Amino acid sequence: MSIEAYVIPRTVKEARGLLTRGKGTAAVIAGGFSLAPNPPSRIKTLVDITALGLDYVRVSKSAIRIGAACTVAGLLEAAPAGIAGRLLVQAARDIGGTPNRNVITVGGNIVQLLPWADLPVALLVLDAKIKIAGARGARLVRAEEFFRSPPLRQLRRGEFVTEIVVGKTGALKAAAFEKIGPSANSYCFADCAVALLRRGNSWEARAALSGATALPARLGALEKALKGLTPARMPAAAAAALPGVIKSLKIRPDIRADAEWRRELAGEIVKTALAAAVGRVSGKKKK
Amino acid sequence: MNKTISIEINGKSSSFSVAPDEMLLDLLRRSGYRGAKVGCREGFCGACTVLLDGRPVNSCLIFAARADGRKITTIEGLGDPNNLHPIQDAFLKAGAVQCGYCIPGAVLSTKALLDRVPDPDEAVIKRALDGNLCRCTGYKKQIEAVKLAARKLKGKKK
Ligand SMILES: Cc1cc2nc3c(=O)[nH]c(=O)nc-3n(C[C@H](O)[C@H](O)[C@H](O)COP(=O)(O)OP(=O)(O)OC[C@H]3O[C@@H](n4cnc5c(N)ncnc54)[C@H](O)[C@@H]3O)c2cc1C
Ligand code: FES
Ligand code: FES
Repeated sequence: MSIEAYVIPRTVKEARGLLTRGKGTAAVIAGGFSLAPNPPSRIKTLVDITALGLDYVRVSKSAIRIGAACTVAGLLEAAPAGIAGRLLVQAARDIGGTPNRNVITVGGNIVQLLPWADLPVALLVLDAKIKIAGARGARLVRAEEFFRSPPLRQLRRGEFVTEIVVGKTGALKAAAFEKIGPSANSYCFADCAVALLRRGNSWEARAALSGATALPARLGALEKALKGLTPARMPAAAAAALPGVIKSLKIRPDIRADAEWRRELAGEIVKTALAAAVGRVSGKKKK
Repeated sequence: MNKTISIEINGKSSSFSVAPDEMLLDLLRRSGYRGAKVGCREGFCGACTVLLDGRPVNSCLIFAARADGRKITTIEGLGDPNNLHPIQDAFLKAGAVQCGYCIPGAVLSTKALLDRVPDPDEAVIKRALDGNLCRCTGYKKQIEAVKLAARKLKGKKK
């Protein structure tokens, strides 16, 4: 290991200064669960962001705001109410084991963006915004943009994520998250989030898939096929559209499962998540 | 560069000189707290579990420097062979210990649970121990041990 200093700043400004002055040799450390086992050799200084007061979940009428250093356990304990809050809790619930969830942060989960990261799909269908602090102040990036390429490569020198903002909308009527892995403690093969929105009489479905693909992404072609349909008609339309949608995705094989199997699984998990969301909209299940 | 940090371990404050890349697990073990075990060093097995400000964490993935000014509980802080903590006693009585490698972590996770939820149901117990892998016992006895410990701690010995 090449780490020469471990610093725990107390303000965002101080952290930003340390990262900027580090000229690429300083890195943010949040939970440390990705970074600790294998820090890149260029990193000499670790800037711990867990004492900056970014460990909150704040719920207002208009948004759920999650501090980037909020742990997964912190998010679960805050248990934000409403459809969006419940979807976040569902996605966070089975991240690792208890001693992991007490340390892994929401920011670390989305910035490292491992293929099996569970929170990004939920943030994608909730159209969340990621707040990034940098030398020139803060900027907000839509989740779709943030997850389009590995965030670690997108962040400019001195920048780091401070907050995740999930805007509330009355249009959101139901949501569901599904994850499939070999065991409760293993990284998933695929995970999927679905949200159903109604504007006037017109329905819209949002679906995002991860795990089976290298990067999490909205399934635009599926969403297009479902647009304007009532929820009751969505599952049949999805079953018809999904083979083509899934075929067009670049599926990621790994040592545990080949691409062909994952492709099949990806289709099934989207169907399951959609059916769960549709079930909720018709008021059968509360979650 | 080494840094001097102060940690309250099992109720006693001490200063330590730590290297910036030293993990909490290694600091604890070289300081005599050898109940924290080295397993996978990847956050999966839970053998290294200690309580950081009352919460179970994987000490193998936490830099020692982060513990500055914080409270740690290791298995040595619970009891000793002549004076077992009720949770340790429950693990023995329930037959939940075989090789013992996972036990410090499992006992500490149990302590964190029972401090918060004195009377947990089985689903809650399973979730609280989900980060402590045991290759020997098959978990059934450990779940019984947690239930027994809960009863003991409530003073309802059966
Ligand atoms: C045993 C185990 C089980 C796991 N199980 C799951 C699972 O089931 N589901 C799942 O989704 N994930 C799982 N993970 C993966 C985990 O979510 C990632 O490792 C995540 O990156 C850990 O977050 P952290 O806060 O510890 O990140 P860190 O290691 O602190 O940071 C990760 C990277 O992101 C950067 N970074 C962190 N925070 C910020 C920020 N705010 N701004 C800018 N850069 C930042 C760091 O510089 C680093 O490069 C598991 C990990 C382990 C070790
Ligand atoms: S040694 Fe820490 S989790 Fe296995
Ligand atoms: S008793 Fe042997 S690993 Fe648990």
